[in-house]
Amino acid sequence: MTIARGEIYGFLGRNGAGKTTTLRLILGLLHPTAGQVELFGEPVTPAKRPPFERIGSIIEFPGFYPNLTAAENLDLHRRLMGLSRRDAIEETLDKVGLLHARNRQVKTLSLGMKQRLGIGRALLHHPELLILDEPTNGLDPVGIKEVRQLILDLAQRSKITVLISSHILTEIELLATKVGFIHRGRLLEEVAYDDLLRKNRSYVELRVSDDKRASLLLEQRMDLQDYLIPEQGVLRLYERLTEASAVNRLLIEHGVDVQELRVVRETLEDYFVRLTGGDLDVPIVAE
Amino acid sequence: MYQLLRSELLKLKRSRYLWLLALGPALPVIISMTIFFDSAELIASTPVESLVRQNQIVMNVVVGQVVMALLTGFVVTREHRDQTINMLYTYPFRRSDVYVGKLLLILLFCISFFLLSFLSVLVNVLIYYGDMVTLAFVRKHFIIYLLMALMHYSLVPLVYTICLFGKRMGTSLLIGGALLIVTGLFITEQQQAIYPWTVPLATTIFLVGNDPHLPVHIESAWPGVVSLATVFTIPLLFNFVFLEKMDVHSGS
Repeated sequence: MTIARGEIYGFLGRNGAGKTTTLRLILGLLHPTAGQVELFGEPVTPAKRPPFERIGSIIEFPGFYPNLTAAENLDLHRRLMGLSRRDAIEETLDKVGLLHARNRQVKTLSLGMKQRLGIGRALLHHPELLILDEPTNGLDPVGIKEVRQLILDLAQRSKITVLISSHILTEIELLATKVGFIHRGRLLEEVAYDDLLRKNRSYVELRVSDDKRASLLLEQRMDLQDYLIPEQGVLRLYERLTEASAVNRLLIEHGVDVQELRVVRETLEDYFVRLTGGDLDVPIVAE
Repeated sequence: MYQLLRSELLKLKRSRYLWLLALGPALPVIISMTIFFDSAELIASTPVESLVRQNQIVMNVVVGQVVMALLTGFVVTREHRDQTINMLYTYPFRRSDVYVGKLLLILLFCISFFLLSFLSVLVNVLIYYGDMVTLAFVRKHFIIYLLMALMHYSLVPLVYTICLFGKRMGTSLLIGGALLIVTGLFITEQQQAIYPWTVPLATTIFLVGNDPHLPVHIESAWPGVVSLATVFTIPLLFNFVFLEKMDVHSGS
């Protein structure tokens, strides 16, 4: 797994695929039986622990001391992270929209509020890397949207690197700039989200007698630029999908036989299923 | 380390376990005061040493053991129950530092607990035997209560170990109950000197002065000291090693 600075890395896999275990390994909560974790270019060993001051995390569920207030929980974190600024607590509560709940005991907060407080806590010490394990677990749709927006805002404003794990495809689709697919404990593929979009985009697929002539015609007459020739005689058009009949007419009028024309819509789910060999014993969630 | 201790203290804020600190030492004294209330005859027939000894027996046999097991269990297992363990071990401290922080909290609690017990009993004694209380008496029992605290504290690392494996508050409750039963029913006179959970009582009685009316008497405190030192040191060291190597799994 390679994550570059400033990326939002979506770590996608089914329940039980090994996402949380991987994140626990990164954070030193588990000790690897083989291999090595490298953080910020430095290896993490039992003797050399991760630089926790540079990392903010939520693993599984943001645990809090229920008898303490939201502000007290953050204050505890502030002290243990060695931050001297007390006003960082107010700032963080404001950032995650919980300033009004600062004096409420955590046991009285809703699940969504706890998740937001967890993200706030993970950000309090201004980490360079934010590790979020299924941060929208257990949230209602409104809560999911709130948390997602919060992560996006923070990533854009603070320019921090985010590693977010999920089994929910849309969550990754809406957040990630790079996606890693894990299945049965193995990282199958890492791909930039733009490339993934390209791989997963809807397209019109044409099987033609002369792909070179067809592409020239489409470029010159229809100003089509976004297309691909994956194999001889096959054209994939990624733009102007609604004009498939016009494309067909143009090619036929200019002596290019169109043997097949179809609109293909590949989803991230399709891609994931294809990647994992169609193993659907545990369904992945596409919301 | 200071920040770790402060954070451990903060975690106890609004905790019902703080009531143990207040009620644990006060309850035996309140019961004793209720019995003595308005009974001049009873006061006259009960030597002051005997009143203090009764409190020491109750504190050693019942209250001290149960409260220390409960507190240790709470301090260890709440991190698993509230799932704060994931955060706790991702702070820039070694796990052994966190462990020491928790042990310091329990030590602070333990000493406060037994000194409060001493203060409560002193108030009781001053009410009923005011003119008989000397500075030497106060100094002697102050030291004995302090030693009681240390003796009970020496059992903490072992309870800590058990709770690390049990990870549930029920485990510490079970330990507290089992210790009481074993101590009360199965320990013979010969074993009192070395069985860790009777050593505090036997040593306290030995230090105050053996009483022939009591079924507990030892000839020397040293076997008990060795027993407690062993039961303190081995789990203490084990926990240091175990915590550094322990994997924190999901739901643990």
